[in-house]
Amino acid sequence: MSATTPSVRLAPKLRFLQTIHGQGVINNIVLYTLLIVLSLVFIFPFYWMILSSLKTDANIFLWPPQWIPNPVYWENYVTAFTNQYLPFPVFFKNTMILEVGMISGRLISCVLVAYGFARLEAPGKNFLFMVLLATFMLPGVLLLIPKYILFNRLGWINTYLPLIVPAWFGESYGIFLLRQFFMTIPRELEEAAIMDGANTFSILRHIIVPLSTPVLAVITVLSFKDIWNDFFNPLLYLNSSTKYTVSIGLAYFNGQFTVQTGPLMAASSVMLIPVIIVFFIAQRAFVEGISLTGIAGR
Amino acid sequence: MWTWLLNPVYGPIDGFLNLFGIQGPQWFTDPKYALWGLIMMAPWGAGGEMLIFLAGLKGIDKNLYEVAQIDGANRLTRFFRITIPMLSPTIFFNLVMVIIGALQSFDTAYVISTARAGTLGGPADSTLFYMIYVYNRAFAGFKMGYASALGWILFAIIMVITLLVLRSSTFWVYYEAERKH
Repeated sequence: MSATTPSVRLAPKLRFLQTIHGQGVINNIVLYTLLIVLSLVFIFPFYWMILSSLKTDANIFLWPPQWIPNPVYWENYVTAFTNQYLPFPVFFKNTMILEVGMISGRLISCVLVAYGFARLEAPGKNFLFMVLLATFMLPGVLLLIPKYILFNRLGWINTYLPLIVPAWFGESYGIFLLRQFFMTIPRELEEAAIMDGANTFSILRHIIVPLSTPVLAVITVLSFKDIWNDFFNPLLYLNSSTKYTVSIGLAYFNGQFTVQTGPLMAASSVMLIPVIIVFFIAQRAFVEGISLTGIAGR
Repeated sequence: MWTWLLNPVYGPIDGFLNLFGIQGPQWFTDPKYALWGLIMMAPWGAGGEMLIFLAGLKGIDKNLYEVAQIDGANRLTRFFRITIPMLSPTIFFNLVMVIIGALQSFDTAYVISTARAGTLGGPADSTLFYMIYVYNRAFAGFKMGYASALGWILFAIIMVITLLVLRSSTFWVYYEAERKH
């Protein structure tokens, strides 16, 4: 996909010129055909999931498969969301508490730490950067028990604190990503700001962050998706079912209806909607690229 | 969660290939194809990398392209002389993360090999990844100490590989902020 993305990005201006001259039409046909075929390939699993959610149990495993469900069986959705033991609205509210608490924490802490790695000088900076990278390399499973013991001693079990508080202390993935991005921002802008008497925080606030909106949007989307799908951590720290998140609810549901694929697919399809909504909101940050006006002509 | 969402697909993919008269292989029960099956599934997990690339592309100063165009650079030249170098920090990030992720492959292989082949790491050890072996030692063999030692060895291996990539980055990663005046 990465090979096609740049040409799309470059295209608008060029395509305009080319169509004026009557050229490039074939190019465009080839390009769009390729993009459409690839999109279909990637959409296929989702189509299959939604398709299965609208079929009766008997039709799901029919071979050759029905490509359009007949009859359209909405009952799966009713079955999925009228289960009295699984209050999905409550789960949804709980998950949103986590989303807001964790994403705001990650964005703020990651920007601060990443700026330090990208720009500020301190003894042992490179060593600390390796330590940061090393945290990816440790299998996460190893940390579960020590973390659980720590949060247990703090009395944070069955609260959202073990999930939200660490997010406010940086997250290695976001830090690494932001650091890479900050390194591509030319220093001239900051030097000019320093001349005008800006301190580090105002540089961060007025130069670095506005220029980084695309990457901040990426971190928001990816974090939203991870928190939304995270099943294990909430399950580990939360005991009472009124505090459960959507993904735990879905997993319980999975256990309850092992044979009923239809309702499961229905629930999974609905679970995708918030992630898609967040993606489309964040996508607006991508639509306009950024322009470092004033220094590019050098 | 994702592997489980993708689970019903294995049938349809072969069905799709059949439309073109290709006999789909027994993806996850034939040792020859199991690993390829897993590799083929990887692009569906690459949405994150793609988003990151997109953000990286959007972070490239548009004026650079305009200036290059005025100077008569064609599409390919602009791609190799502007896009790739300006994107190299992003490429570097994705490279490091994917290497680390691949060396720790576990979830997909775990789900698929147990569900399809019936044995962890199967069929015939074709999907026996390092982490699967660690899991096997720890929970099937109950050799927790041995498994922990394996975990640390993997950590060391990943560390060495990452360090090599990090060293190599001075040759191909371009940081605008480090530009010499």
